[in-house]
Amino acid sequence: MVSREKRERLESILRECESVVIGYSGGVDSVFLARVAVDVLGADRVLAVTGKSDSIASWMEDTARDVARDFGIPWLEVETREMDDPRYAANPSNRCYFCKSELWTRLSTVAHEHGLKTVLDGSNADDVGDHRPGAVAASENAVRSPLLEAGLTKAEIRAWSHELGLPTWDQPAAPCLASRLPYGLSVTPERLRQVEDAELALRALGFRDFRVRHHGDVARLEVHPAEIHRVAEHRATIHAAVLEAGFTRVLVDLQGYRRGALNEGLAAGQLVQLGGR
Amino acid sequence: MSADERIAAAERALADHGVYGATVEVEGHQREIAAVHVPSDDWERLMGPDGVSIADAVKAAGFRYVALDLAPAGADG
Repeated sequence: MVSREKRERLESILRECESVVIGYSGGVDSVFLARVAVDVLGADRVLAVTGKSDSIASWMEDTARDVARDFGIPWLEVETREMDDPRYAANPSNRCYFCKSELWTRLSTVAHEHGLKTVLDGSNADDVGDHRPGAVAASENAVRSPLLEAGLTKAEIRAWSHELGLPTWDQPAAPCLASRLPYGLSVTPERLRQVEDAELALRALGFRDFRVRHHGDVARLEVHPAEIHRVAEHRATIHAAVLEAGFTRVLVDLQGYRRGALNEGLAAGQLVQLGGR
Repeated sequence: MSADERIAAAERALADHGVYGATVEVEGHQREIAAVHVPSDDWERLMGPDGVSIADAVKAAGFRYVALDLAPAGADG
């Protein structure tokens, strides 16, 4: 249940922004933000923009497009070229900074071209404390985070999304495909394709909350503890499908899926936390 | 600790938890993964609640991740 105070706070922040471009990935938060923004500001003052690149799973792009169409959200897709930046491709622990810098620069240009005043992202109150170097790029580009500013948690966003009939209300978190590569392993279109193909195979078997982590020739699957027992049932199919995606060995992590697992090896000094910019 | 010592320690940790006949190899571009191959009979236990505590014991041998090999018994790598 979302309090009346938080609802009014979000609506007030959006009115303050006057007209908006929203970084719209097709995930729970940005879909919700775009839908509420259209309600509060009207469709002519909102533009949801999806950055198209190899690091975005094709099913996310499909969700973004379909939800925009079904819910009357003005939508635009722009190609982003983070892969051309060698600082991004080298995959340092602040990789997200270079990607988001490219995204927010492009969206700021789009906002200017369309005469829209403020650029927004979908960060929420639960993101505070996570390793989020991309937040620095958002800050540099004057991007506002209404969900975070209103104090809305992920659970509250899901509950409100359900009220609004958004199909994304129970969608698992889906960060970009580059997040499956450990820092220091270079990001290439081929590696991202391998991850996407392997994840599509697991999705086709009914798995919902998992990651295929790319460790060079090896795929390490993290499956949510609630679903991990199903791996044994589909062992041969998963093994064949992941090999087909281009890996030579397939492993399943005994600790299962946990958010930010590839940050486990980072020293405290390498962490960039939202709320501590 | 050398890679060989980590393997022996990991296999000992598995045996201490009643997982006999397991083999461990080192994987990952930072050599950070213990790739564990076990007889099929042990799969259900490792995929259940015991898997997390067993993984913790193997991690203590010097690995960041502990993962089961999906290749069928007798298959290469």
